[in-house]
Amino acid sequence: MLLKIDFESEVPIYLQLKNQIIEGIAQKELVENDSLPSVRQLAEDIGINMHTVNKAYNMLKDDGFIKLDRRKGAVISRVPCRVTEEYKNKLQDEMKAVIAEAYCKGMKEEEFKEICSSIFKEYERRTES
Amino acid sequence: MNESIGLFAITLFMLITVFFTGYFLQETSRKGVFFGVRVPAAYMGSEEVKGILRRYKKSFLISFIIYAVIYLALMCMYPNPGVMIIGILAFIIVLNVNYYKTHKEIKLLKGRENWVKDSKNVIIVDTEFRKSKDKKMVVSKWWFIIPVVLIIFNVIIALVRYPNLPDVLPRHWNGKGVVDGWSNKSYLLVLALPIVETLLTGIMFGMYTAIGRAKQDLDSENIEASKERSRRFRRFWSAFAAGMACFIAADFTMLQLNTLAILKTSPTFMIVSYVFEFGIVIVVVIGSLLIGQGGSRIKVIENKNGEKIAINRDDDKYWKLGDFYYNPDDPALFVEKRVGIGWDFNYARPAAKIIMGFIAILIIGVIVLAIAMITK
Repeated sequence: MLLKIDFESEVPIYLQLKNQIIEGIAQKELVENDSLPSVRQLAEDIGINMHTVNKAYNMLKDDGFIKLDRRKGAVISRVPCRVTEEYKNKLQDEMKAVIAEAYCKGMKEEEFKEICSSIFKEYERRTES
Repeated sequence: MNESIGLFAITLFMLITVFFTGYFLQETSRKGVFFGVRVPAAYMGSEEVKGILRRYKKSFLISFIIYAVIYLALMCMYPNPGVMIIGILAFIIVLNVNYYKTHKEIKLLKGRENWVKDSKNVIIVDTEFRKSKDKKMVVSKWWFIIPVVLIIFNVIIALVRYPNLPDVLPRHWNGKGVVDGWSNKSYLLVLALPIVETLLTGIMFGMYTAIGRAKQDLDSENIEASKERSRRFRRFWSAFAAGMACFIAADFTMLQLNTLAILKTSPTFMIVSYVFEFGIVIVVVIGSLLIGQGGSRIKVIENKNGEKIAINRDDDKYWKLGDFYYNPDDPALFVEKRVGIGWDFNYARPAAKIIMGFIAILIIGVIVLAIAMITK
């Protein structure tokens, strides 16, 4: 898959990496057992510190999206992984911030739900095909 | 007399080679970079940019002719390897003065016209870049088994033959394949060739590794095509590195067999060796001009519907004088050159600083040696 890293973005680079890889998995661009480049190689290709890539990989590992294999490096795990209580709490926190902003801008609940379901459908379509 | 004709032929050949690399500096460089400055695609074909290129070519042509006349005259008057080496260094200065003048001109234009206003510092990286199974990025590393086996063979044969060798051994052959230098027998003498061979194989393997590892540097306007170009570019030069290692090892094995008096050099062998050496230079020149930096001159079928992310990248700040990559945040040691063809260091890495220190000492040594040769 193609990673697009913006050096001037407000989003830190490790988060850009993590988010894009998760999105790649959702879109089926990355599937189970696909391997990602080694920490060093990816850091060299992008031109960033190795700690940054390491941080992204470790977060992905903790969230169950990848396995770090001694020989094969970072390998994509099977999805869907489990929805844990911990994750639900985290999601709720994150959604609060997003919905608060939408609410203040005057967005209606229906409109918001429509956006959510269109994104969900997009990923489901990819899974089926 | 014979020696000076040889020297003259090498000089002439070298002059022609460097003329082409200088004159077609922009044509063989990467797309989107103009004399070390990133220029957005929309401005690349503008009259101002074309004018700068025309002026560079004119100025390069004039200074090259003046340089070549002086150099050839000096070579005729003093046919000396020292003059030749100083001449090469003088050319590097001529080339760089011309380059830098043009670099500054385009940099000023870029600032004045504010080409960076809609540019972003964004990079595209493909996670599958080095993984495609049917289309390998570089040739197999197992090619390097050939030089390794030959080196071991040369060491073994030296040790086995040593007790039966005469006290004086041939050390140097002239252009006709006749021995003109002798040395007393010693272990260092019979192992000298394998040692140098090991060093050269190491350098070639280093080059091979650097080619495989160097940054992707994809063109966001045409990702698939630039990937294919980069692949062919790397494949060609990795094959060249592996081939050179094999050729050097074979050549050294022949020399070793001669030193140990197992073979007697015939003039035919020397000619074959010269033809090969000449062939290598031809391959480098033709390869550089036809393939271009990063494969920029290779025609590949461009998929117009392929993924396309239009960004005007602006990373000029990492390229000192437009030519030297200096980025302390980047762990990469090797990068593709921005001007001209080949690979270069990320000069912010300590390893690069150490290697450059050695090279600087080497160059100073060569200059001292050249001056000593002239004044002798």
